[in-house]
Amino acid sequence: MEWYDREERALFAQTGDKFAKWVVENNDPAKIRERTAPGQFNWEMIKQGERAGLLCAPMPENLGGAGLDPIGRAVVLERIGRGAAGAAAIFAVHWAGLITLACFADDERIGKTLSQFSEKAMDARPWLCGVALPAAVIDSKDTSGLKAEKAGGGIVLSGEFICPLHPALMERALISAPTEKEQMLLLIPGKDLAPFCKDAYPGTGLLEMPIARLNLREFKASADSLVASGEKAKEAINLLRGAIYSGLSSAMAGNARAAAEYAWEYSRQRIQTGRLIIEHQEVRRVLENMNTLVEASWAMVCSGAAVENSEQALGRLRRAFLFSGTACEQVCLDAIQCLGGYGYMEDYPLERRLRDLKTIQCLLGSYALEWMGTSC
Amino acid sequence: MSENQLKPEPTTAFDSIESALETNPTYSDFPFSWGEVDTLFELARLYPASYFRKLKEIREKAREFSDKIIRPRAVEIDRKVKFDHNYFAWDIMKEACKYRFFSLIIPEAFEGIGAGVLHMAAMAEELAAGCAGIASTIGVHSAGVCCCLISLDAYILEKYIRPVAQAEKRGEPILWGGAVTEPWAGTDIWDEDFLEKAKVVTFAKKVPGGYKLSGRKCFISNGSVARYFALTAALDPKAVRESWTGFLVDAQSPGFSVGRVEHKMGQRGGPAAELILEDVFVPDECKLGIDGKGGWYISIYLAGSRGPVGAIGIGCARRSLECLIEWAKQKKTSQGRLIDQQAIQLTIARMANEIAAARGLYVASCLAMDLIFYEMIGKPVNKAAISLLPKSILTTKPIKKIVGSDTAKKTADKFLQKAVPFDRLAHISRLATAAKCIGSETGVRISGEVARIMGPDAMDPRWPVEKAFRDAKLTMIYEGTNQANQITHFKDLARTWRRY
Repeated sequence: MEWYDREERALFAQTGDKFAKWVVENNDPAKIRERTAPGQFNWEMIKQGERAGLLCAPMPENLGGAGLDPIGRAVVLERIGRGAAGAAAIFAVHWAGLITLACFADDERIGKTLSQFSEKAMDARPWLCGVALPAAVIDSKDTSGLKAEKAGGGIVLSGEFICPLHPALMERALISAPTEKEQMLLLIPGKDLAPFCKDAYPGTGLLEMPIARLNLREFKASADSLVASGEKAKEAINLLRGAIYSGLSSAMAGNARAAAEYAWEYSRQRIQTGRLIIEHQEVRRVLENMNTLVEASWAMVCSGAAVENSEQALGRLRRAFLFSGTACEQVCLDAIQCLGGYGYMEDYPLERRLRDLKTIQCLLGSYALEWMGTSC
Repeated sequence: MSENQLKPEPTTAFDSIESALETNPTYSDFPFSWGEVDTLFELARLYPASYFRKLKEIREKAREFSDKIIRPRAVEIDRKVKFDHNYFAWDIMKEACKYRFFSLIIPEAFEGIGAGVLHMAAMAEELAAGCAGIASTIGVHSAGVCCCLISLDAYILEKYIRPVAQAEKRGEPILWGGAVTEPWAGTDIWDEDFLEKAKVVTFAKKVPGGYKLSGRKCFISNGSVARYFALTAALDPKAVRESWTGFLVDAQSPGFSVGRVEHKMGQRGGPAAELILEDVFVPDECKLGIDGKGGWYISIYLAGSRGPVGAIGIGCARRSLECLIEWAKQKKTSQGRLIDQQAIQLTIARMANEIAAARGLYVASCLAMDLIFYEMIGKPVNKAAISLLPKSILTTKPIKKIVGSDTAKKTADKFLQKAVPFDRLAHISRLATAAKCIGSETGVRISGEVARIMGPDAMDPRWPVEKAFRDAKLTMIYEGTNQANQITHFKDLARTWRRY
């Protein structure tokens, strides 16, 4: 059974393919050698996404979206990830923000903001929603990333953390902020956060997606920025987290699938020791193993996405994120190995896929210690 | 099931190693016993105390160089090269001259340090813990010099090797490189048995007084910065294996040019480039060894160079682990410092175990290789004979003619065959491939895992774990991919069945 057996999912999968093709064809290798600075961000890529109907696709139809379901989102992001993981990661973050906000659409203020996201999608510079989860660098109670305090009718934030999308590019950022007593979810304008960018994130992957390291020193957010607090915030943060896990895992699975396909194709053409390298049993074994890992990752992502709105979703999606990250890293490493020296060179696409994957792993904090945040 | 499906698939490489199967067609008596350590016992008895004293000194020097000179600039160099592929840290190379890393492997009689392969590997590990690219540059230089040492050619040693040590004393690095890989022949060109099927494009044509070389070499470490290359070419396009020969090529020779400098994912501190040869004249005396023995020389060279490659992988792993420990000491969670938590403590212990095991392997392989060098030129009698020989005589015309003659090269070859008997080379080669595979895989595994634990901080210039991960991956590819190494390992197992 294919996960996109529903007609609309199949259509979105085709759209994802077309969009990924456009991104790949319009990526200037010279420009993407360094992560694009916010001033040179490829807005045309986002516009192209909008033209394809992707920008606000997961939003409910009554808010101007297409109501794309969790599996549909995973399918589209996997397809985009096959072309360019950076583009898939931007959409994963943006969509996770929109989905979380949509839970609070009954609130007039949030509802209005969401409508603006769909209205502004046609503008020269569409609205993007950013997300930061600094509170969970190691575990959910960890406050080493960001501390929040209610003071003078507002909320004071202090701390240093990674923001997956540069604040200068996003209209609003959803940020989880823990006080000593409770969790809070804040919606802060990107332009307010931009002056606090310490530096560009030095990671060497996801070149289409400018990432920032924020250093907030007693940043005062207005009381209006509070989306939810206490149990409601906890639930919303879990939903946000799950959606990001799902989106980034899909991007990784797509990225690894493309790496595996490239290695298969190369193995059918390259001759060593007098025969095609695909005829070597070791190469065949590695290629088959790569396919297994990709399929397993994808199945885990889809099984998590299938229950995204249930209680067990977060655990499944976390495991999917952890498994697919490690498995897809192995796939990219093996794909490079199949190409030998060529795989290590920038002229071939595989080394970039490995760098992208490594950067995605790092976006949410300590990837390998994600499990520490879970209860016994 | 159709007949076609029943037909067995070709079994990778083994149909080309009939000789191994002839030795023991029943695959009995796998030597999974004491073969490797036997050599070590022999060594422990043979080596003088000065060998180990020198090892300690070199390790300390390399660590100092890595801490003071390399580490503060490693990330900066990586970034600079990303945008300017022609950038090379010559200033660091000049600093390295003070530590005498370029003459490490050169015999004392030729003004070098007279160290062995183990010393080179220990240096490589320490330097790689700073920057694997720079470790690779210095390591490849030593490997290139090593190729000339294997040829046992006194004229080459005097004319080309001694000046390296002399220039180093003046603070001027003269770099060497080794050029084997070609655009259409990678893995199969590193193994003598696969040579006949390799699509070789570099050929040498005999002309009066020497040879003319034409062709291309690719992914050559130090390609754009080295002055001399130990290079392989076929004399006969129809019989590549039988005519595969080594040459010493000066990069300043007419017809020699550097093609593109590669854009690599990692190890950017050490450039890799394409070499273009268009009728490059190489005099007779610069032929390394005798005709058709190139494959055998490469086998000896690889037995020596693969251990240090494993050491570079371990250097990357070590740096990552050091970063993890420092980071975990600083990181606080709701349960206290991260370093105080069981999960991290056991992870660190496991990684240290892996590093220790991998290091043990490269030490064993390099020690075994050093025995050959010791027997060839390290014995007091041989050392005295070389040092008593007046320097000026070696480069005179008559000596040049005698040494460059086929008779002299054949004599040297016989001596080498005696010093490196088949069985011994097979054992060392097995150890070396094991050291390379385990070392490089340990490097990738540990640096990758540390990056996953540290998350975004792995990209922080204070903890360049992500760089170590990118760097480590190359150690799985160069000096023959790990898969090619494993084929060699199996062949050596197959050829040396016997109980110990």
